[in-house]
Amino acid sequence: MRSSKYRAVWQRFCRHRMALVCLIILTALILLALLAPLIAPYAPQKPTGQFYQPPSAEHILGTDKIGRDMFSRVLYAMRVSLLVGFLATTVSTAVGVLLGLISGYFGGAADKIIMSFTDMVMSFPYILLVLVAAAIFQPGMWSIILILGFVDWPGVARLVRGNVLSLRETNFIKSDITAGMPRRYILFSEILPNTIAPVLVYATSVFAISIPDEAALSFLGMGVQPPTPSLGNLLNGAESLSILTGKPWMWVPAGAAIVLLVVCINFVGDALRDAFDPRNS
Amino acid sequence: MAEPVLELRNVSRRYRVSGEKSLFGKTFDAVRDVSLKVMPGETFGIVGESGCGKTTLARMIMCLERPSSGEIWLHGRRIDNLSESARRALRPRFQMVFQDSGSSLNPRKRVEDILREPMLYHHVGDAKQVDGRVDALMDMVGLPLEMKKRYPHEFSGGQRQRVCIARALSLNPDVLVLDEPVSALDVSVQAQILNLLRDLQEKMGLTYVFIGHGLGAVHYMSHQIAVMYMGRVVETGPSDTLFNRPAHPYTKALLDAAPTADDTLRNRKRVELSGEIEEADGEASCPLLPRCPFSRENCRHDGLTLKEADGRMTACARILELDGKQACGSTF
Repeated sequence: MRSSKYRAVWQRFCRHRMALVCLIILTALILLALLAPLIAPYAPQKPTGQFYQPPSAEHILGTDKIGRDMFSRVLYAMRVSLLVGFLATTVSTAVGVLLGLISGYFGGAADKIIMSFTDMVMSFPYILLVLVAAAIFQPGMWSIILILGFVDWPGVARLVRGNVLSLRETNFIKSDITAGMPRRYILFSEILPNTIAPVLVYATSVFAISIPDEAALSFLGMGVQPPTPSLGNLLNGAESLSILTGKPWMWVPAGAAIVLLVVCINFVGDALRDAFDPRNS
Repeated sequence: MAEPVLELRNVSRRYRVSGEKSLFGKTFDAVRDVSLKVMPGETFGIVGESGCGKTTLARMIMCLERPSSGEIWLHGRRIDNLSESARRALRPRFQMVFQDSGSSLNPRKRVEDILREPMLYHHVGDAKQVDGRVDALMDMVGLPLEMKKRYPHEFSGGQRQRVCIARALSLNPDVLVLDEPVSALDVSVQAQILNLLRDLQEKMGLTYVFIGHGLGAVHYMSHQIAVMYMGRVVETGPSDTLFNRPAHPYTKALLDAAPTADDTLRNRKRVELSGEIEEADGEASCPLLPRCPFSRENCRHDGLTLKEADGRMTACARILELDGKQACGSTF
């Protein structure tokens, strides 16, 4: 019976052809990233002695200014960018869910304080906040995860709060109260499982945003620090006009990877939203 | 005389109307000065139209809401002013069945888990005993045992209401508040649920507070009845007395407004109220004053006190003049 529910979700998901194609591309990209150590022909940090080589049989995406193999670097960069995006999403979702639950269930002063704080974080110009935070803290992969995690949680918190507010008025929560059930049971066994689906959908969009955010920060030199490759600091190499116009192998693959990842994640997220909504059956 | 199981003493509930920004704010009295005594093993019916405060009253009895003033006593113990943690141990003794069975059950849990979890928390028994009790409860409310593995959306409305009754009974309560338990169900299913409730009451000696707007159902279920209008009890007494010989004009109008299939009764003389619900001015004014066909000047000054007449309590200034004089063709 449970499995029939999941089958229905999968059937609704499959109705989105585009999402299905995107899911396949996304899976392929994630596999490429995960298996980078096996696939990459060269070590990503090791100069090969041939500078600015255009794509060839030896280096299928060419080499950069100090002779590192671009294909290997792109693979490792995707690894880093996906990891940053995934962990940042996990952090922001966890923070958002926790604050949203507290805010929605307890209401009163806790709700006012949390919601004011949420509005405050949301009202800051996003990229500025990230830049300032990146400037204050030591730039690097872990600080960028925490920074992105910190700026992305308000949306989740609001979503969860709204859900909790409506769930709190349902009769099954009222029955829990009249049965004298403890708060931890009501919050984590009754309310939380009923907010998972919308949170999951929202998290995909946060994931899709974190990847270009990381790229933007790394591009500006505030994110993942070289020599560790990330999609953003690979694009950094395209800052000079001569590279932009004359050596497209330096930046096209990284740019294409960002576009593909973001588009695919968004399509999959959209389809998930429709799939989780039983009214679409 | 036996002690009442549940007693309400002058219970009122006032809400602040949101959106009003004046200094004192606007208030709305959902329940005003209600006193009731519910005797053990009996069903106390509460009738009235939508918005008369029935559900607010039920929520206050269940301590989902605090009265603005007044006291609620259960088994000789005042419960409305306890903290939630102090009340937790008492909670299992009074349970509620809601009107909308659709939202009464967590859609993500199997029925057996819905029934089991409160019993485990309250240590009704060890895991094995609780499992046995789940089966016993399913049987008690007339559901096939294999259905316990199902999710709520796989049940019909009547079956869901049976699950809700099973859950309410799982903690061995002695008072059950039934807030319009059959209003959302088909007529044929209504009768099944009402009979189930009556059987359970007989077997287990339960005390019910039965809230409804379906007059037939309330009459069928109740020993005592209170009729509410605009948050007040306007008439209360034994069920049969109230239905056969209603004294308050509102009770009469309520009974006369019910549709009937009996041709000979279609053209009977009825008590009809004029206009819509509106607030009567004056502190002691009868709430029905603006709509009542029998209103007189003295209704303005003596419209609230419940006076005893003919084995019931009626809040009507003209009760003694009107009593017996009004033809009332009600057949309930």
